[in-house]
Amino acid sequence: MSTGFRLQQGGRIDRNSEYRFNFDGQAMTGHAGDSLASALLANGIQFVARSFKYHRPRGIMSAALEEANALVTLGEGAHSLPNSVVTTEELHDGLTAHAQHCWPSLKVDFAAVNQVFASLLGAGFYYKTFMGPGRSPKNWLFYEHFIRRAAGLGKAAREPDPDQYETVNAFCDLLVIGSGPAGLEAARIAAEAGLDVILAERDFELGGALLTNTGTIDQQPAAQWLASRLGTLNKSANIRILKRTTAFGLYDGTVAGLVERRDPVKAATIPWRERFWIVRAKRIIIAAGAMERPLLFAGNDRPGIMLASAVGSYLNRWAVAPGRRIVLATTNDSAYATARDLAIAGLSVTLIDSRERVSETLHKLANNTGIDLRLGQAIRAALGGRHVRAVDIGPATGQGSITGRLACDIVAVSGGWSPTQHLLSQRGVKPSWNQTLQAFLPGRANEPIDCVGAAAGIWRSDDCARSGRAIAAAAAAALGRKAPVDDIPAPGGWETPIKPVRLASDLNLKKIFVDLQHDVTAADILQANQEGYEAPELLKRYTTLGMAADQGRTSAVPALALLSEMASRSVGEIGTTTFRPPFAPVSIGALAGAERDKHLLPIRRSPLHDVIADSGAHMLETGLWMRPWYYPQTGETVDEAYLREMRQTRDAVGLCDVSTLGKIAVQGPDAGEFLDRIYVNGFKAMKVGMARYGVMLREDGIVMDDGTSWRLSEHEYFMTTTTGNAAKVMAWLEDLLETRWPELRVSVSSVTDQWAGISVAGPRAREILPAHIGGLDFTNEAFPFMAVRTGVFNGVPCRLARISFSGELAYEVYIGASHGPALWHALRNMAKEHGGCAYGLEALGALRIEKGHVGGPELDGRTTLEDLGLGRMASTKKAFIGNILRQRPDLQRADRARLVGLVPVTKGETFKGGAILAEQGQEDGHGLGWVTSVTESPSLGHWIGLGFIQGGLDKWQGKTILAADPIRGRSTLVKIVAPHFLDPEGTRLHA
Amino acid sequence: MPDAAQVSTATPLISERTGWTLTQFHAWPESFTSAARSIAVACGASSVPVPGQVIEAADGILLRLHPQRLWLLRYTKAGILPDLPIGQGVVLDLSQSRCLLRVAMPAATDLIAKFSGLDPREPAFPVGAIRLTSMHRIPVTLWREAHHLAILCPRSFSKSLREVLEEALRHG
Repeated sequence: MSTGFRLQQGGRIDRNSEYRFNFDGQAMTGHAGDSLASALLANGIQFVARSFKYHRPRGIMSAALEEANALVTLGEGAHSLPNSVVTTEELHDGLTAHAQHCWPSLKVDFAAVNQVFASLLGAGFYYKTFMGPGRSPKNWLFYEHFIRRAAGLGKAAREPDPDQYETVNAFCDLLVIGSGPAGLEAARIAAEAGLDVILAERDFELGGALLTNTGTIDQQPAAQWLASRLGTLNKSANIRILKRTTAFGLYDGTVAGLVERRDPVKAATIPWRERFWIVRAKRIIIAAGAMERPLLFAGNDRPGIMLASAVGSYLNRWAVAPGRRIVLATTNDSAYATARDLAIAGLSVTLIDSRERVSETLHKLANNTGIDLRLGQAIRAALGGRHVRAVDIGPATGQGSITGRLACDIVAVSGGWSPTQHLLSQRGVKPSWNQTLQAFLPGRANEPIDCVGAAAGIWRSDDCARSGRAIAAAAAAALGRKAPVDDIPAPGGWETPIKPVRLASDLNLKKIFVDLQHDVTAADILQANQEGYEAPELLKRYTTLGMAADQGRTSAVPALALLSEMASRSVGEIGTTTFRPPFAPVSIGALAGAERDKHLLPIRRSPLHDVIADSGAHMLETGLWMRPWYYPQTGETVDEAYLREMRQTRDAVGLCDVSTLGKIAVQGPDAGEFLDRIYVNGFKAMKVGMARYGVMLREDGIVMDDGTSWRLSEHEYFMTTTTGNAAKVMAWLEDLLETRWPELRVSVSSVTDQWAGISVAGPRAREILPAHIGGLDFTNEAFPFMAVRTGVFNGVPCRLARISFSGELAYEVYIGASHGPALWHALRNMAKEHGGCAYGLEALGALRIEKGHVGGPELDGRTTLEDLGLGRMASTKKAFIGNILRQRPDLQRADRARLVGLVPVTKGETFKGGAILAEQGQEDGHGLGWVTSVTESPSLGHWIGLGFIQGGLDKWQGKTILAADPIRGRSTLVKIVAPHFLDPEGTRLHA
Repeated sequence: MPDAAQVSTATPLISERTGWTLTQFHAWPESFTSAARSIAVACGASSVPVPGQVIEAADGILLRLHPQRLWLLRYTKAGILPDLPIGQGVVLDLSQSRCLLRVAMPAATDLIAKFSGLDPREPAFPVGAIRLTSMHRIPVTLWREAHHLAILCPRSFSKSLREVLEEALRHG
């Protein structure tokens, strides 16, 4: 016997260590090997939480993941983690935990007043009170605010998560989930057969039920058997053992999602807090054991009422006696071992068995250990406040009155066991109800996934181990390895069958808690059934049973049993719900892994990135690319800088990094034919040494992308796409060649990263290029508009085309990526000498608006060639993708929104992209069009914009309309003009 | 398998190899067999690699990922490249489009596990095997050398990939 709650001997804790920890401001100590729950119980703390809806006092009810009550917030500040389960949390020095979901304190919680109104808060309360006929959505929106404040368990930290997480991909022949006798034997046999095995165990110790088993297995004491097997596994080179690792999901192709928690003692040396494992296994064995079910009686949620196996775990594994006078109520044989261990430890044990008869073995066990055994009895009600102090008992038949009251400080209950088959259920495998065992047993999977041990409904440890060996041998054989063949034991193993308990007719159903975590009572289930929610999926959604963090691990079968009783149908007929991932809560951080902050997405850098960034350019993320936004001179704002860059480009010369444009090499005898099929205009007949602007459509006739294609030789084109659509176009071209036109002898290859690209634009472009690029005559005659030539820079060949996006005399120069920085440096120095500069994205966008070129905002996936004013580009002599469907009547309607130019009526006024074009007085509707792009135009001295309006220029040219911007609170009268604001004749670019 | 020389070591575990050229040969389906054989002979490879295989060549390696394509990666810029007549296929220089990173084993195996869904175990990914996969969402070409993992990465992503790999290596 012990002093205090910790027994003086026994358990698997290290008594030489002392860990200090803190719960709700109260300092305590524990030992290495303790869970937070065992340490709390050892310190006499049972009441640790408040329930979800009624804020009733709740205590620790289990010793593992099935815990429904004892959720706390771990850690402080940014490191805090709500809804942590005390039974699965490994104790370590310095651990801090706080009670949650209570105010101002755990002991004095004002919200406990909800218990007074419990009768009003039954199933369907929210739906009936706040929704439905006669209740407008505004009512719900009003109440929702208050309901959300009251709802929810725990509060997430407001600060960014400072912890690190990792993702690991792993492959193996066999993944074994669980390390009880079945899992250990499965892993051992598979490894000995030569399979590559991963053994995942949720606990911080291997062994599962063996950690608390004081009996024998394979004629050996369980502890000795366990030590022997662990010794073998630890020596095996074929097994990777993952402790503290929860398998939370099974997915297609035998892919498993696991989360590994860091050993808290090694926090200083392991950088990650959690690791997300994606395991691709050839086969999976689920050895996740079974979960004990609670019993249903009035007040069954009081602190001090625990699962019988949990009481046994605290006693045998952690040397904690949570009480002195124990009433143990059971419906099956499994609780007798716990009763025996408790009695041997010197505790007073009254064993209430609902069955009229049990085997001689169990009788002897009770007699030999001094247990007060009462057969045919059941608990009717538990009494107490913040802790149970007595139970009323009566006949287990449910008929007749209360026959006695037993004082106690712990009530241990066992209502049977449910095999843990959530993972199998996630794969869509339906379980079958076994009336004899009163349990759902796993169905047969079509995938290579097997259940063994208690997860298959096998109760005896010997049989569990044997099932692990047998299934592992079969798995090895399926993978071409040999292993000793064994028989698979049948489910079950109790000497006396379990007895399903019927509720006594005189019980207060409102005090019988079926789902402890969500405060769903037997009365709620009765009400749901009476209102027609008979199917378990409907019952779940109506009552929220099984919807909280514990996913109904302990409540599902008791609820179905109740439903069965109410509906006079068997549990098997009613069936059960399908479990979905995750089996246990997974932190978002673990799923994100290392892909956060600066590593959220990879960054693409142009070959010119470093030389541009070093020159002081402000860089901007555009998609994955980092691009120069503007190049400020001292003290300049972005607006000042880009307007200056535009002026310098228009007056002298400007350089722009265009390396990010998509670039595709189109090669082969049929390259021209291929381009003819994908562009609306012709390319096959284009001469070598020339380039052409092209537009490609989607199959539905909507514009997909635009760009230029250069004919480098008879059989080779160099295609450019917009930066944003580069990958999409490349994938589209590959798809067409592989599936639509495999007969074409064409090769397409992305060469975006091969080339550095520089646009040299402005009236003095022709002056600076010859200084560095040799071998070319830049005169208008020798190098006309849209011509393609090859030059040389520092002995390196480069490609040039006379192409303009700005409306200026302009050239695009492409050179091998590694030579780009040197070319940029040389051209920029030369540009400076000629009064020019580099310009960034802001100026690039503004220059093209002045010229009336369409860009991303106009190519928005809704516009047609005609909408963009490019209808005349479409060839009438050849077929091309999108040509048929672009001629649909709706796409050819004259009143479609068409591209127009916009200028403010009052020159000094501005307007914004996104504004609605509407007639005055009709700003509240959808309008007649919208504004896509705007800029201040230094050339024109006022703001200009592009947009779309129904009927386009034909209907609106010269008329005024309102650019309404209700979100930003501004409306501007604008005049509709042609979209080409600057040099519509093209004099400058042909100069 | 080439596994040394010309390596500018930035850290003990990860380095960038420079001074190589990459040439793509794309042959039309009906002429692939003969075209590939002539390329293999011209570059000193003992045979034509099957998809997913790397074969040693005279001054580099011959890689094959795509059924109709061979990549010749040469560790020298000297020498004459094989050519293809247009009736057989086309040739494309990709030398500037990629960066070649090398990561020492066994750290490389851990990096694959952290950043790629590729099975890095020796039987599934032996020396001489080449795979197209993604690491940190970046499309990469990997092959296994005797003591290193070679990563051929698009040039624009190389700095980003290297940063994330080096950070992972630092964290162990």
